[in-house]
Amino acid sequence: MGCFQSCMSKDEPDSQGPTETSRLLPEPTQPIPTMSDSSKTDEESALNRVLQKTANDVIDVTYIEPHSMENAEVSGRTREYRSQVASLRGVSRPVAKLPPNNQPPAVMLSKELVSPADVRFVTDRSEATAAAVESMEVKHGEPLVVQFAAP
Amino acid sequence: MEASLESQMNEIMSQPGVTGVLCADEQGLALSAQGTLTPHSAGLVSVVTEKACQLRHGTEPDEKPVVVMEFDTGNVLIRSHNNSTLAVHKV
Repeated sequence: MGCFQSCMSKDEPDSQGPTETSRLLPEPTQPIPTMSDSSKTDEESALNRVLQKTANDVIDVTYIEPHSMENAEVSGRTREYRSQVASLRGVSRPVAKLPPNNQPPAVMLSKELVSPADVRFVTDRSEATAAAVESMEVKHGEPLVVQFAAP
Repeated sequence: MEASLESQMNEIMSQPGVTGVLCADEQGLALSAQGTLTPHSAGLVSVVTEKACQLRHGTEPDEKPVVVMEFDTGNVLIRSHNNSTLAVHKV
């Protein structure tokens, strides 16, 4: 019935408000505003500025002028870089503390023992630490044992 | 509660060459550990000093030995006093 009503009343004037056939956009009574010459010039200058800034900032890696270097210069730089890398490699190697085990026993046993200063240091610190451990006591703000009211 | 112990440990760590320090009680439980020495080694450290004391004959029982273990990365010095054991890792 709703369908019949819409088909039969399509020629009637739109006096009851917008319907499903009424136009959503207003009629184009006014002409579309066009840019004036001054504003067009400003737009073009702004566009040119943006293009210039982009051309200055962007680095096109696909187009790089071939940088020619002499072979002697290239080999010299390669030598220099390799020597620097080799010197850095030697620095990071840790110094072995233990003596190698392929030496005769007499040489091994004659190596320097632990320094007396270290022994004295550990002795003093162990006594101080033991005193600190004995001075530890439990500090509590609330009573640890609570008496419940027994019936 | 443990402020005095922590201050002692910090003072030991501030010494040049010290990379780790560990303090354990008489049961081998870690009281404090810093640097390269972790609480996991507290039990082993206590046992090492205990066995070292048993090895010594003819010496005064009150004199505690200092056990030094030499590694490639440095020395670990262990000594017990009263009821606590201290281990220091020094390069």
